Amino acid sequence: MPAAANGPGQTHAGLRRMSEPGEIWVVDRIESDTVVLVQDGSGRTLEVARSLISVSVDEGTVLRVPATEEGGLDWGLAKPDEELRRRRLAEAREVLEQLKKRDPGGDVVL
Amino acid sequence: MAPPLPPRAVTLLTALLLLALHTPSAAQATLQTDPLIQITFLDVGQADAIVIRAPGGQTALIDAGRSDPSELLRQMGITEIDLVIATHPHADHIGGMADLLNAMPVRFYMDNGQAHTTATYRRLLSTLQERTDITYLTAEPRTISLGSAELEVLPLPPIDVDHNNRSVGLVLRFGSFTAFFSGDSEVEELTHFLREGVVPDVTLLKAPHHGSNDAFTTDFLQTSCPEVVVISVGENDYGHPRPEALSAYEAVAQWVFRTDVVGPVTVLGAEDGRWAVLAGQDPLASGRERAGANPCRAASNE
Repeated sequence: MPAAANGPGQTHAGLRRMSEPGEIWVVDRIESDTVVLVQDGSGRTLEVARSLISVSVDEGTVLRVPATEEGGLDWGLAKPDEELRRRRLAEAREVLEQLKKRDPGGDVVL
Repeated sequence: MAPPLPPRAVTLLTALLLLALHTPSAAQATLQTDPLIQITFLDVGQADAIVIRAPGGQTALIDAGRSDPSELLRQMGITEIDLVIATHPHADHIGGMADLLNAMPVRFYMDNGQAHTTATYRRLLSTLQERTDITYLTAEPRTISLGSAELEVLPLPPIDVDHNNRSVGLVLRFGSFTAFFSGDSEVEELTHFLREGVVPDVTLLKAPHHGSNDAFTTDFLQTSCPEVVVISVGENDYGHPRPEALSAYEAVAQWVFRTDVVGPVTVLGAEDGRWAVLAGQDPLASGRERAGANPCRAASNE
């Protein structure tokens, strides 16, 4: 089963600890109805039912996920950080361009 | 270059082939000295990590599972790798890559050049930046020689597709023994490979995307017509492998093996197309590449 996550019923303001900007979790991939996310920093992965995330997500989506009063993750209030996603992609592409310069080209003999 | 297989392992493997292949004694005598290619699907749970060991000792690793596979590799006697390939940047394929690159010498690294935004991918990129001793290779059509075996890198689809559908596609050739690997390819990429005319009749097929129902087509399976299909899969909530995929594989292949059922699976191939499959050291199956017109298409036309 996908890891337990706090449902929308636990996301109203009275229960929420406002800790913006929230933890960063990035969508690694989507497998059927399950979203597989990677936590920034730890690299820990977590599987969350797609229905628990209130915003539309795709692989690569960077989410800022607030915590609930109980210390769980409030997927119902997760918000995409599009600027951070774009910045990360640009940085990665720049590194890839540098790496490609190390490619000798052509066939390779091991 | 990694050392060749230990003599005891070669003897065991050759003996298994000899026992299984029922060839005339003269041919058996020849086979005893025949080189073998060894492909091992590590048991890394719901993930991929596949080791190729060429007869001359060259070693390649396709994907690195969710966590560092270096201990599993050391248990196989592997202490250095000539080529590491990341088929695509999902964590179940590159999760162990950065640690692996730091755990043992690696000469070449290849990926599909498609950026991702996860911490897992960023850590891998950072490691590659630091490790200037590793030669980076882009996954463009090219041939990589592993002594007497060859890895053909297939043309990728256009850049604006999802990660699964831009998995690095590889055809491994060792004489008449052929294997096809394509990470988590789904219908879109498999159709692209067919359109490009790069799908051969193979001996071994690594089931794309852990046996998902979006990762096969009848046309692809009839064209590739594998004798053996191996599904790298572990406990999961996605329903992998899907019953539809299993049925489709069983319709064309003689044998379908799952790493969640039998553990690590090793396929041995001889240049003349003979093959044997082992689970650990236990023989599971053996046979020979079917000759002549594509038997999968012939069977479907009957």
